[in-house]
Amino acid sequence: MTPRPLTEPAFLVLAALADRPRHGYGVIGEVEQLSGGRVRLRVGTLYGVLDRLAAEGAIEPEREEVHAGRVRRYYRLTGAGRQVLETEVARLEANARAVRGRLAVRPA
Amino acid sequence: MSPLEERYRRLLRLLPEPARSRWADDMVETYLAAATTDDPEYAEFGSPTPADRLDVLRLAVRLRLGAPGASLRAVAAGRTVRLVALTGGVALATQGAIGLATTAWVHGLVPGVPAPPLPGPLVAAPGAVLAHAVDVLLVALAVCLVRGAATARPLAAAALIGLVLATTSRLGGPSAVPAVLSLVTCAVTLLAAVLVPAERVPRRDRWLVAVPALVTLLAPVVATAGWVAARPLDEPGPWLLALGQPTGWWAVALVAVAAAALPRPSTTAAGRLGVAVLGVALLPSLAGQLALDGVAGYRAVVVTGLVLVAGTVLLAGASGARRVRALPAGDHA
Repeated sequence: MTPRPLTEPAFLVLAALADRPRHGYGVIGEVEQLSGGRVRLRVGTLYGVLDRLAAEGAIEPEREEVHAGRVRRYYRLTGAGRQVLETEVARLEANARAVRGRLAVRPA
Repeated sequence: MSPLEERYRRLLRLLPEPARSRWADDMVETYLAAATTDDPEYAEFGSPTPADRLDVLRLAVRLRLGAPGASLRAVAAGRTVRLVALTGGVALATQGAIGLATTAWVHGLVPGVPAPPLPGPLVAAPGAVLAHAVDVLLVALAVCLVRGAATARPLAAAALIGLVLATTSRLGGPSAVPAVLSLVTCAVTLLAAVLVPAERVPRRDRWLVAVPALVTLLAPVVATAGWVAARPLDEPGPWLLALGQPTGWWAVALVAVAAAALPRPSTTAAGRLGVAVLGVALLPSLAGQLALDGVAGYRAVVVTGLVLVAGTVLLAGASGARRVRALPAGDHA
C-alpha cells in the first residue's frame, strides 16, 4: 500500500527535528523559519502533531532540561521518522520534477 | 508558579487522559515560552488568548474522538461519531437527491420524462431555493465522507448553517414544529461530520453506505406504488403513509439492524453506540410526524414507531456503554 502523504504541519515538524533535537518552542520557531514565515504552528496544533508522530514511532523524547523552574522536553527524530521524511521528500521532489518538465514546454 | 502558568494549567484540564499527563507540562512550558519571550511581565497579568483556548479545545475534541495515541475508549467514541456521520450523512444525501430529482421532474427538467400535469402554476415554498442548495451540499458531503476527503467537515458545517436558515424561514408557518424537530435529527448527523475527520470507507464497510441509501430510496418507491394502486377517492392507510416517507423506513431499518446486531457478541461498542445515537437523532423527526393528523390511525402508527425506536436506543445504549466501560480508560489504541 502507498503510504499516505504527510500533512504539511507533520512534514515541517519532522523537518524541524532532522538536524538536531528541539523542544516545543524551538520546533515552532524552526517550522516558521523553514516555511519562510508562512507557517506559524499553534501550540495545540504542534502537540496534536507530536502526539500522532510519537504514537507512530516517528519521534521520541530525547532529554529533559529545567528552564526557569520548569521542565523543558526535547524531541528527536527516530530512524523510522527519518525514513518517513526521506520518503516524503522524494515524493515531493518527483512531483516537482514532473511539473517542472511540463512547465518547460511552452504551449503553441 | 506564575498566575499565567496557573491559567494555562487550568485550560489544559480540558485535555483527556492519558494525553494530559503526557503533554500538559511540556505544553505549559511552550505556551509560556511563546507568551513571555517578548514581554516577561506578561507572566503576571496575562491569560491564554481566545485563539489558545480554541486551539486547546480542538485538540481536546480530537483526542476524545480517537486521534492516534488516544485511549481505547476515545477510539470507540471516534468510531461511533464516524459511524453516525457516515450512515446519517448518506441517508440525508439520498433524501436530498430524491428531493432534487423530484423538483427537476416537476419542472420538466429531466430529459425524456415529461413533467406531471399540475392543477396550477408552481409556487416555491419559502426557503425552497435554500433547501435545494442544502440538498446539493448534502450529496457532495456524502461523496466526501465515502471518499474520506477533508472537505467533508466544511461541507457539513455549511449544510448545517443552510438547514438552520431554511428552517428559520418556515417558523410561524403550519409546518414549523415538524421542521424544527427534523432539523434536530439532521443536526446530530451533521455535527458528527463536523467533529470527526473523514476516512475513506474500506471495501468491507461499504454496506454502511449501501443500506442507508437503499432504505431511504424505499420511501418514494412505496409512496409511488401506493399512489398508483389507490383509487382517486381512497385515503392512504396509516402504515402506507408512514412508509411513504424516509423517517418511517429509517425507524424500521434501525430496529431491524439492532435486532440483528445487538445479540451478536462480535458487534463492537462503536456499532452499538452508533445505533443508539442514530436512534436518539431519529426520535425528534418521528415525533414531528405526530403533527400530521390527517389520516385515521396515523398517530397510533407513529407512537408505535417512537416506542420501538426508544426501546432500541435504551438497549443499544446500555450494551454499548457496558462494552466501553470494559475497555481500559488509559491504554493507547
